[in-house]
Amino acid sequence: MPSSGVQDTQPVLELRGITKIFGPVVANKDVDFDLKAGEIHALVGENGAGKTTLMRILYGMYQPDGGTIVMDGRPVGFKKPMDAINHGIGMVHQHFMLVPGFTVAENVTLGAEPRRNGFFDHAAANDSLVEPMKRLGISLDPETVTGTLNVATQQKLEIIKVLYRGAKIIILDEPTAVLTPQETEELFVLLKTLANDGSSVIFISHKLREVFAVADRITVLRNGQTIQTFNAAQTDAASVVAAMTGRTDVNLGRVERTEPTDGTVLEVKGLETGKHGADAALKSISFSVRPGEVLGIAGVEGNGQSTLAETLIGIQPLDAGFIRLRDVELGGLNVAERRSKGLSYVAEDRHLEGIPLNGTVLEGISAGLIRRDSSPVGLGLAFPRTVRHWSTHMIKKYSIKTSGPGAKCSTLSGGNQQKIVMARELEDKPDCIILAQPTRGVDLGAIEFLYNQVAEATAAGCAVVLISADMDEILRLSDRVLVMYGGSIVAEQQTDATSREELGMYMVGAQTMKVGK
Amino acid sequence: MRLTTPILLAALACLPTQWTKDLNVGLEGAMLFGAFGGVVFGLTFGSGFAAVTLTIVAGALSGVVFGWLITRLKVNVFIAGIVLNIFAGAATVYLLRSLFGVKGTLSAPGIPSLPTYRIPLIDGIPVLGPLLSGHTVLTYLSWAIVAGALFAVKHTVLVRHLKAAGEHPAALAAAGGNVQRMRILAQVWCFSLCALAGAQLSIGQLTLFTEGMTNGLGFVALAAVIFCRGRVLLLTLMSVVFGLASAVAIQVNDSVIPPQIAQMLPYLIAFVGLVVLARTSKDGGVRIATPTMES
Repeated sequence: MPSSGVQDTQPVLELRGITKIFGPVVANKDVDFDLKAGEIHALVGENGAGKTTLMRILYGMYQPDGGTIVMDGRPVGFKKPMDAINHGIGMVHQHFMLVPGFTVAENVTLGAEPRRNGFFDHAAANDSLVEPMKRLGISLDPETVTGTLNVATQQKLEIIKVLYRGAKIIILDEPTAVLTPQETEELFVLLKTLANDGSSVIFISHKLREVFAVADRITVLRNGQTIQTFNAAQTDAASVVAAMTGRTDVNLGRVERTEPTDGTVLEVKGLETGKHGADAALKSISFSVRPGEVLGIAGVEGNGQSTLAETLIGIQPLDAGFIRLRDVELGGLNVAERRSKGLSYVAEDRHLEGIPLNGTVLEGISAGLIRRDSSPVGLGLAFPRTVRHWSTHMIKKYSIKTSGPGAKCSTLSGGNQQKIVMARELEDKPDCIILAQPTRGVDLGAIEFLYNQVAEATAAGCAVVLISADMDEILRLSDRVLVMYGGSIVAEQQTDATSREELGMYMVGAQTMKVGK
Repeated sequence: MRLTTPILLAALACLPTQWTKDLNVGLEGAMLFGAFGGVVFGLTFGSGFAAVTLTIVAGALSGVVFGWLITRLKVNVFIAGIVLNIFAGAATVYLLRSLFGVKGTLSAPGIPSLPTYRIPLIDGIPVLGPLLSGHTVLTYLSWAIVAGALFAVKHTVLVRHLKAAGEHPAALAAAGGNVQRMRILAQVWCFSLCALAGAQLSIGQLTLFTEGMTNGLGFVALAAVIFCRGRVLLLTLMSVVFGLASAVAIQVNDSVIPPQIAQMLPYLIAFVGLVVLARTSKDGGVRIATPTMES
């Protein structure tokens, strides 16, 4: 539902013909954008469409190579973020700009501290939070150490910070990426409150459901150019998707798949691990996956999903329990041995673990073949003619957009990089594949393509464990969903018998169901 | 107590660089330059006051250069610190020979020594008197800096910006702060105080300069800084403990333990302390959500 505070007057902010060039890349080309008082204006587009660049120009982090910024009818220029802040522009960054060791009050006032006799004024800092918190209808202890707060609260703190600086225009860059469905709803209520007060909100997102839930107007960027500005009430998702992708046939609904067959491919029982890094330790995880089945694992990040993925493939040791793949015990095997037994893995962090970022497409795509090189002590050619032919064939089959197998992986877009990973893993013809956040940072068209590849693999009997923080992904692709919370499985549901809201309740630990052992 | 002062000064010097996450491991080298500077300026101007002032100024200038190296020129601060240590050892030896034609130790009647002051009332008390009274102005200054640092941590914007520059530089920058300025400032402070620590050694406690006279005190201070993770009071306490350990090492009788082992004492304590720290520190206590990847 659009907010009601929109005034049909002169825009408070206009970006006219903004152009920004990074070396050979034109990030923004003649972009127009305007914002009215009391409006929530969504800026949508695929990854690399130029949304973030445009907002960084507005926030004074980049200097435009062309075009003007007009505020209240007067052209302005921002050399640094401070200039933008002074003009009443605030930004909630995707990566929170909060100092973890600081108190709430210290973080809010950072850069504009209230002083008395030149010293930090604790009382005034605490008081300065009262007004913004009242506006937002939330309450926080100003003396709390920020790093101990949960993610959603940290985000609210970011909004308080922006309001403390007196922002009338608030930019939110992909604010829902770290939130659960319920937290997202709360955020939207907050944003509408702000808009009704006369503030303007720029909401950057690529999740259309959210955009339609909150925005008054929607501006679509593609390849650095403004495609169109829609009135949210007078358009539908299909038109916006068409504008985003330049195609009219993108499927955003459920992926067509064959039914899973009977049997068990992967069986996991009583899995326990220690704590590694920031993610939760696993507590007696048990599940099984049938041939051709996609088992979705949902949950807010940090509840053990990464640990689960890494334990299954063998990067992290397990303390108790077993992992069986077609009756072969995998627990004591290393990663290479597990792969040889028919397990495949698409890692969560593509750049760190998925592809050789500074290597070539050929190296990235044929890593699986090289591993199985049987020549004595690995002295054979790494890339014999057959491998090179094969990789050229794969580039065609997976329609990877690249200049050729010799191109550097880092020059490819996120979607094409992920196609390399998927090609490598799926062409192994695994019995079971673990997909960890497989479409993060991948654009809509490529997502559809990757989903179809997964569907094809399941049709051939491959079992899939789909670990994802993206609820849409789980709902579109999986047959069955498990929800993880605090390292345990707290719910199990057939995908067609559940809803986003229900899963959300389990994800935040508000509900737990007895999961069949 | 006398041995505590250089350790305490060096530790306080290093503290802000720990806040900005540019931990300066070159304390030893900076102290050695400070000690040398104290003697050279002292000889030139014949006044202890001038020597100390000029040493601080020289230290501050070096701090600007060092800070500029690690920020603008993006030199790794750890490597720069190590280079500084090695460079200081060699450069002071070279300068000693080329300027004064002396090998090993420079001792001359012209080197001024800092006067010591007695605190009227406390001086008479049996144990406290010799402990707290009769020190150089630098010792008293180091205590004042402890008090100042305690106050600053609680009440100044500056310390908050220094900490923010280390913990989350992007947050400080986005809030309109200047990260680079904070990082350079921390180094300026570090070098200035290291210069004082060195001067305390060469013209405070003694009136001579010896090659490598800092003798590992800088590393002891560094251990104290790492051990205390940015907390001023604990840092002061550790510096005193290390200072006492060093004093024991010197004064203990040969018949009790061999002097070689006694001299290991401060380092042994530092080592044990660091192991204890590593065992007790818990990681991931506080954190800010940073969704990975994207653009």
